[in-house]
Amino acid sequence: MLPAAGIALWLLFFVQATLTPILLDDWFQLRYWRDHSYSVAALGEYWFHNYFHYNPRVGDVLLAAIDGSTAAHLILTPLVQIAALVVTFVIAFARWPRRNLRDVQLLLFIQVMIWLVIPIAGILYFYRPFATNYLWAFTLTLALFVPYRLALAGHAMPRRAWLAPVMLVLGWIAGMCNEHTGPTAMVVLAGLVVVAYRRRQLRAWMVSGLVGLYVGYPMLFFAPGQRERYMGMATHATPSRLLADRGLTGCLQIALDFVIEARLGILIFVAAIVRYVVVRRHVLLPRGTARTAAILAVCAGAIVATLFASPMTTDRVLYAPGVLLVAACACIAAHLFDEVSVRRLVVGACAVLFAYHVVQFVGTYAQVKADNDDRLAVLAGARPGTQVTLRPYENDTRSRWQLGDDFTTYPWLAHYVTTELYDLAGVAPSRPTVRYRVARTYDPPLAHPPRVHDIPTYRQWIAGPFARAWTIAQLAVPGHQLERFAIAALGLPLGRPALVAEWTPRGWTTVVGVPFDDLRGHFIRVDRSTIPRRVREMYIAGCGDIARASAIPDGDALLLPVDERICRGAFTAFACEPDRCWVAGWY
Amino acid sequence: MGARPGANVAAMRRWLLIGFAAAAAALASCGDDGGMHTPDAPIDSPAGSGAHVAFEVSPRDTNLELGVLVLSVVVIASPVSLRRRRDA
Repeated sequence: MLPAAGIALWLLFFVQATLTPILLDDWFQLRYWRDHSYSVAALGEYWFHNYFHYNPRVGDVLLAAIDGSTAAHLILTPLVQIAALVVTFVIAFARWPRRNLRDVQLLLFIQVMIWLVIPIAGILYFYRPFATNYLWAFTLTLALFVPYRLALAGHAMPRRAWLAPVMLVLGWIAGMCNEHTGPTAMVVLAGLVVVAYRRRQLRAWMVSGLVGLYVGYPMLFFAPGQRERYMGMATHATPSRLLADRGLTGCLQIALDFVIEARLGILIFVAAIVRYVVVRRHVLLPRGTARTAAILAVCAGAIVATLFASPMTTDRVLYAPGVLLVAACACIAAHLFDEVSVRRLVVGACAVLFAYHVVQFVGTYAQVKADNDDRLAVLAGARPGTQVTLRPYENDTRSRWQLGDDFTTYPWLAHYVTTELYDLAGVAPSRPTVRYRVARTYDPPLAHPPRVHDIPTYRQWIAGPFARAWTIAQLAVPGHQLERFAIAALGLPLGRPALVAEWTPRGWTTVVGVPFDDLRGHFIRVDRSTIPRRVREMYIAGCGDIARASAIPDGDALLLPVDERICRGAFTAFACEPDRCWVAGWY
Repeated sequence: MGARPGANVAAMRRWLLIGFAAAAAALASCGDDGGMHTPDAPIDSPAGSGAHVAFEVSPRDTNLELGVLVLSVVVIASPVSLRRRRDA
């Protein structure tokens, strides 16, 4: 039974591996492999560069490894996904799965619970950059704990000298996996070593694994690349500052977000407990089971608590605590399964949910892969130096199952891929774009004023003194006095003209707004002193939509929140008077 | 007069089911449409200042949520085998 179930699960993961599209961060790996031949040395160079200049985690090297070789991807990815399930089982039960129906049922329960409890299951499993950085990474971390768990549970662990260097490396790799899981892993592993010492079961490999972890994690946390990644966010937003800024409510919100993400798994688990109580009138757990479940739940909570001091609290970082929560639930579920009605009903429910996930995974990724292949064919077939027209994906928005259309979400990525990987001139715009025009009046009037060359865009006007000077230099017409000059942005759905800049004898008017990020979120920060008095409304346009913005006073500026629920492309702010608007910044 | 055998179990099951259904519905209705959280409270309010760092939440799948809700209720309320029975 167990081998058949294992093969079936492997087959699902293998099919999914064949359906994996090239998306977002994958492109950057392919750009690297365009200049490097696939080899261990090249992977080493890649890690070295990343460690000092970008993402120092092991996960990014693993991503490069499977992005650079289809064979490596097809072989390794399904195996790691199977391993993720198996190590979770071992951590929960301190033994390997056995060839019996009960263990297959428990494995089914664990797998379905993982998919229910972790956020964006389809993305975390089958979008390679997230998979390697979180799923692979935490599987490696749990793999480090497997020999400790087995040894301390009484399994015979003979002294093996060769295991010491292996565990040293595994410990180091586990330390280099994730910033938010490392502290909990270090505390727990130290505790396990102390327990082994007290029981006189301490082995050399236990110490070497510990040493590896304690070397690896500081190497990750203090990696030079952390200063450069995300514009140095990890170094600017120190843990103490983050804790102070978030306060108690902010931290509780993160914990609540974890519970909300895990809610579907919690529902199934609580239903199992309720059923058990209804039938047996009590729920008395064996002491060891209760202790193990409690420790695993506390570890999950500790990782979530680590996020209180982390600048990145996106959904994907909840993978690790989610898996530990599932392991805790599995310990208790194994006891609940002693009641036959609980076991049958919960396993039946898990079978239905497993089937639903299979249908969603395969169906979604078959469509995504077809769209992705079409796009790759268009890119590969285009003549170098030309622009290509790309149609958006059928599934263009992010869902629980897939990432969405990366080129739609990040329009700059389309330009990067077409130019850097395919030597094209970019992507032809699919929508009418904004055009800039000038308006001038002279005294005496000019029927055909001379043409103004190189009309600057809003950003050029704000940022470039030379662009301004060059434009102004073209305005002088002998014998005619300039009365008004304006740069207008056309093609905007505002129902009013939108001005970038205007000159009248009273002086220049330009509303200055720039991208701005802080712990509160993403904003366009508009300089209050530049906003005309008649302005009554502020708008933000982005993703083909335009919406009124609620400005937040912030000293000498107004902050306009950028809502990235719909997409993450370019956003433009407008400050509107009753009869005209001003371009007021971008993000 | 004694209660009908099984009446206690039925009553307990009913109340547990009602309680569970209420809690489950509340829990299942949590969540977000996906994307980035924007702060619910005014960002510049003293209590909320900096507390609501943008958090990317998992987009919802209403079919899955409804399915889990139904299956959870089935797990509790199914009359298949309420009698106390130990696994062989």
